[in-house]
Amino acid sequence: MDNVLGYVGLGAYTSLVIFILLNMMLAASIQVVMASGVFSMASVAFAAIGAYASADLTKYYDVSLGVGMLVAVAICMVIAPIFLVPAQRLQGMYLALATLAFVLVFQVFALNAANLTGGALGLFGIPILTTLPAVFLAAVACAYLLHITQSSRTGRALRTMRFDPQLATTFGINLLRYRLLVLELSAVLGAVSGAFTAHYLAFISPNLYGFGAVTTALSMAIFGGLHFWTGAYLGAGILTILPQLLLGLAGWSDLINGALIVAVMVFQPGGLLVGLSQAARFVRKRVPALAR
Amino acid sequence: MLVLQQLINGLILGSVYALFAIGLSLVWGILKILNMAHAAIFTWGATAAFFLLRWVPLPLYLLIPAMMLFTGLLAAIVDFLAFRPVRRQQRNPDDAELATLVTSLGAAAVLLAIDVKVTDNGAVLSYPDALFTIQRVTIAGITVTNLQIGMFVLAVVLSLSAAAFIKWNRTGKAMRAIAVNPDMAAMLGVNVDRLTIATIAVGGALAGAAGVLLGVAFHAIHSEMGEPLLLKAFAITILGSAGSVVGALVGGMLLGVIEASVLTFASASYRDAVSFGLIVVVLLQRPKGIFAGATGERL
Amino acid sequence: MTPLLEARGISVRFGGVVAVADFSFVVEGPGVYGIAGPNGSGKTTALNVITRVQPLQTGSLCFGGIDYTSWPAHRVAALGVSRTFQNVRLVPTLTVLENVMVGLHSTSAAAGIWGSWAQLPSARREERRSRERAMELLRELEILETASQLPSQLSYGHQRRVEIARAIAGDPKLLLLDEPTAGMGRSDAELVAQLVRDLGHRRSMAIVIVEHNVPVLASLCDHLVIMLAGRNLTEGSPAAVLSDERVIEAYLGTSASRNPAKT
Repeated sequence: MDNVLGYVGLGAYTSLVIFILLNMMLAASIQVVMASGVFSMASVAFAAIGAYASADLTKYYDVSLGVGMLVAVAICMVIAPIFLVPAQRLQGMYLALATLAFVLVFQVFALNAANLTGGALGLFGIPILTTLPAVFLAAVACAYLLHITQSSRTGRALRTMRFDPQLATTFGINLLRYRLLVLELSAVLGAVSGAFTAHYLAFISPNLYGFGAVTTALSMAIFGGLHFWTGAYLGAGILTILPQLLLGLAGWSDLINGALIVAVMVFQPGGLLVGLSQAARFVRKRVPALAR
Repeated sequence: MLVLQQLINGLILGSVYALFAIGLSLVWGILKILNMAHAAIFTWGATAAFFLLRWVPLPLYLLIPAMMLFTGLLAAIVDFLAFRPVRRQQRNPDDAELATLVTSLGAAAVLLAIDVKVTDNGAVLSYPDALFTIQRVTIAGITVTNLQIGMFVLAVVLSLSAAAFIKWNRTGKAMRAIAVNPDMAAMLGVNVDRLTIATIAVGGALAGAAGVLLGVAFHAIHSEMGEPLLLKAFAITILGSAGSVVGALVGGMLLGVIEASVLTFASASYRDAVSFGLIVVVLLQRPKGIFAGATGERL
Repeated sequence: MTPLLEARGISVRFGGVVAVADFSFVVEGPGVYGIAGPNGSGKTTALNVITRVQPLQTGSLCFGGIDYTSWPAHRVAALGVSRTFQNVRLVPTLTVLENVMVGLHSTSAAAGIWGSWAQLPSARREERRSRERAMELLRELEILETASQLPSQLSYGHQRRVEIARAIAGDPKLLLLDEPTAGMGRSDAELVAQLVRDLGHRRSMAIVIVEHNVPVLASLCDHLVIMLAGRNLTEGSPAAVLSDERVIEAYLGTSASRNPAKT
């Protein structure tokens, strides 16, 4: 997802905004599970499945993007519960590992199933059906869903689950149900992002959905802050724009992302959100006029 | 006969996988660090060897130790700059594990990006032919090359030395103490920081050796050569129990043989999926692996 | 009359170690009960079994006549059982108010996530009611001003109060307190004891306290159970139990070792 801008030409603000929005949804796909204690990297696989499934449908069966996306989302929602098995059994790191392995295996599958995915060469000639208004609406709808999910009774349950699953059960929180909820949300977000991406780039290939994509998505979510969906959106926005602002660095975005991950983890693991709120508290203390 | 030939090939290749995996397994089992940058260090070893050979045409038996030194140092630097500060930050060990994993992803991205630039955007390079002349030997209908024998011997020797070190040497015992309980070990006078860096350095050194060996074996090095290996290393580590050197060796050989079987009897293209299958099966059935309790720590 | 809680013949082993063996505990109805015993006698494990957080090897659990021995942990709250923990476990990323609202989770299930997404009036009403109830509790425990703070900003004593507020938020029939005075000095422990006494009076709740602090137990409990090495040692009124030779021996050693000069 790094040198994708090379395909459609730099400079047009439209494509930049579209990519920001797409990345926002992908980053949120990772945030929603990780903030609840389910360390799943499967979002990238959902994006890949979303991309390939919808592209196959629109390209070979001439369906609309809406239908293609619906089917792709449905497929991902059916697959998502599979991750419940490792999620219930494995501790954090092992779940991350298992889901990472799933991403890599799908990559292998995509490389080999040439009749479905075009193999290593990728899938060409996908109809360009993605428009800015559509993506914008999708991003807003997702933000709405996430906001309510994360700031309601459900949100409190999810955060309790993240902190201490045993404690959560004491208060009647059904871990299985909530883990399924966040996995399904993650699937929807990933699939939507992937489907839109495929129909904007007109071309997708397996190496868009491997380690690099995981690192990119993870870095956006972590940079912004994993506690709340706004972190994912913020991180995605900044990290998508950054290589563009620092002109000529577009080819270095992998390195920048990597360096940023390290920097954030070392200096401010809570991400930008935590950093901002700490700064806000600091300012409020020093400037009494601002303290309400 | 062909089947046996393939299996032997798989076994030998597997031993080199094991060499690469030991670094990951040790660091994971003893230090609870899942080092995603391990593959990048492996790739740097192979790449650095290429550039070193352009300056100084070293013979293979000198090249390997030179690269081991280089990658060992590199790994130590990565730990010092990226992992150690994160370890200091996080109180909760589970959080620290995940945080280090994420950080290692970042470090991997940085290292790989540099490698790509240095190799002219990921071009495929190969070592000069003069580095090693392949000779074939046929015993009882099985053909092996001197390279294969060398790889196998080197992998086994290095692995068993590492295993013996951990089991009998005082420093090795200190490492095992850290695996069981780092705080207790520190209280008993073990310099946890120094040993952590040492363990990571050793792992990195072994990865460098594997890098050169595979670079010679496949007659090609490129920025992406580490990626498929990482998944295999996970499988080997999980199968052979994190922290067990012998486990990694056995696991590697097992993986090599299974892959060779899949290649022979099924489709070559699904070879890489074998690792995933292994991971899933082992994690669900016997998450601690075959050699569980090797270093006495929990999984 | 059916007892509120009946735990019978509970056994738990961890590998080779027997944590609880043939332990039985009955809570008849509202009142203050105590479970005491030296370190390692299995008190917290017993609590964990009662709340189904710890699986048991043998035994049965009944609440109000309902056999819940094989129920999953998250269904226990709905029965009306609530608890606090030895170490204060407040969610650090939730405010004090939100932490207390978590205690209402099992009692406010009407709308569910779909209702929230649709912003149904019933969902919003429920959220408002939860918020008000939580505020009320904070007021009752005299920590209302901390409502929008994070747990890390509160003193230990106040954190304990938040935990209690969370535990009683759902109006439980049975409240289990695990070492509520842990780490407290005498005056703080007295305050907690007072709190528990008030709670017992104002709501018809059965309170079970697991404690080391014998004086506190003595003053609070109507009925005291002593555990030793995972088993029942004896039980009864505090006065009777605490003057039992076996109990004194369990805590302080035999008469001979206590009075070396006499032998």
